[in-house]
Amino acid sequence: MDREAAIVGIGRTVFSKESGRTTLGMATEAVRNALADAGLSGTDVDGVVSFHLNDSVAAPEVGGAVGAYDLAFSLDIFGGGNVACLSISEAVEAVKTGRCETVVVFRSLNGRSGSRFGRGEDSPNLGGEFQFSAPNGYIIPPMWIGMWAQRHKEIYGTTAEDFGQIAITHRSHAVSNPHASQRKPITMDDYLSSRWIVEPFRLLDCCLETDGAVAVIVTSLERARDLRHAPIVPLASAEAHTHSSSWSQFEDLSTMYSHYAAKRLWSRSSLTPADVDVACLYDCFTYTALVTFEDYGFCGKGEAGAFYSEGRATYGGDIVVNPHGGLLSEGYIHGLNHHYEAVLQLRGQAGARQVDDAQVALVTAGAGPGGGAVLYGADGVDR
Amino acid sequence: MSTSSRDTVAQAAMRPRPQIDPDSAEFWRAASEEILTLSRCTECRCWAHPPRENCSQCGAPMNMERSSGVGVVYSYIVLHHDTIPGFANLLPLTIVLVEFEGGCRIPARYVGELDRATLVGSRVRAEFELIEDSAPALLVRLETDTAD
Repeated sequence: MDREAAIVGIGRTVFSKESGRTTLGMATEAVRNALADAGLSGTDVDGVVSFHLNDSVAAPEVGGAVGAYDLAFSLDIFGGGNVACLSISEAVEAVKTGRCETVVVFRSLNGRSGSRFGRGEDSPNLGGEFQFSAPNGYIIPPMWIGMWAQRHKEIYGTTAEDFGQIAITHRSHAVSNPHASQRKPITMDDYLSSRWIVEPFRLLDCCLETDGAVAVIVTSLERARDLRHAPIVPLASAEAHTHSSSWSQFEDLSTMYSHYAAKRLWSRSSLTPADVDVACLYDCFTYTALVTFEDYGFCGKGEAGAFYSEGRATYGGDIVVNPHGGLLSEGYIHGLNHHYEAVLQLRGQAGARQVDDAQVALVTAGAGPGGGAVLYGADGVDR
Repeated sequence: MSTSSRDTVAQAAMRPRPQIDPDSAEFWRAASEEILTLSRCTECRCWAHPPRENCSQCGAPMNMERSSGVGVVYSYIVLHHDTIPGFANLLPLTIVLVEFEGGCRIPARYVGELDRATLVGSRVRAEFELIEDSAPALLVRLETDTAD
């Protein structure tokens, strides 16, 4: 069997700094919300996919929690943002090949009140390549990605203001998103006066560690057409997991995995970056959005800062990037919230932040050596 | 033995440590003698880091060989925020990513005056800081600052 698949349901919890709940409780709520959104019930689910870093609940537990006791497909992928798009793509492939009918993809974490990525307190003994970083404390994402960002600055003359434009733009979008964790507009002065975390990153370069869950439902396009909302179709996807997943030995630190994934992605579609109306870019840090925006071909290398500052990445420009505010301002659900937003935008249900006539959306996830992308379209869009 | 004057044994003991494995044991043994070693192919002679049993290019066995200890700064960051235990007394702290033989990159603590305009591309020389009850830490200084 080889059939088309579609996204038919999206659900989430509130995003907070301290949920006071289990990851099972939050995942179950997000999945129930997504099923209700689709007009499906738990007994329709025969596949569950999740990704986590030993900080969450396993896929079959969440299946069982909504009454799906016999899963034809269950997959827990070990990883963070680098596998968020892969998780969606695996669900899509499972439906396309007929391994199952309806797959739930979820991510649930207490990213703020539980295990925090921005701190090293849980990892006193580090193996693999990280052991060589351990004695100097070079062990957390803002350090590694800051190192890459500095390399980009050295090569392209990228400035603090270029990073600032991204923080300001994504925040300006979150102002119209009631679900966003941070909605107060910020200025360049606010950005430049925010405290250093790891130079070249200030506080406002860093995303918001968040408690919460997001779920997405995938089923066949044929079935999707009978459900509550217009189906949203994954048109193409691509992954790149490169250079042994090393944060230091990656060939050129002024690019990311996206340099490789972009070639695959665009070779699998007749569409080009110019056809994309909405981009939900993984923005764990401002720099991640900047460099992946370049790598995916929305502008040339070293040009993203100017693209943003000229207003071309927001309403009235060439493309709207992260209309929900992104990981920087909506919250850090490891990038699954970007898929939620893309679906909302392509359905035309994004309210005050709706992008006019949004037909094609790109969602990316990952930073550094590994990640992927999914290109979505409204039903009927040429792929 | 080179110890930073601001450092204390108590601080260093709080720092993260390597989980040493069979591939890395020789690296850490040499480091404890203040020698930087890198994995090198016995056949095609390419260098690799982290150490591994076999060459990813030709598949031949790899051995640990002594590095010249001289590298080039590829990029840097400056830590301002007290996040990782054991470094509070060193802030602000510059960490550099240094390219040694074969382009092998290893993060190191930079010791010396920080000139942001010239640091990337500078030649640096490696040394290890040995403090009891903590792992050997790779430090680098500008080659022009080190007396041979």
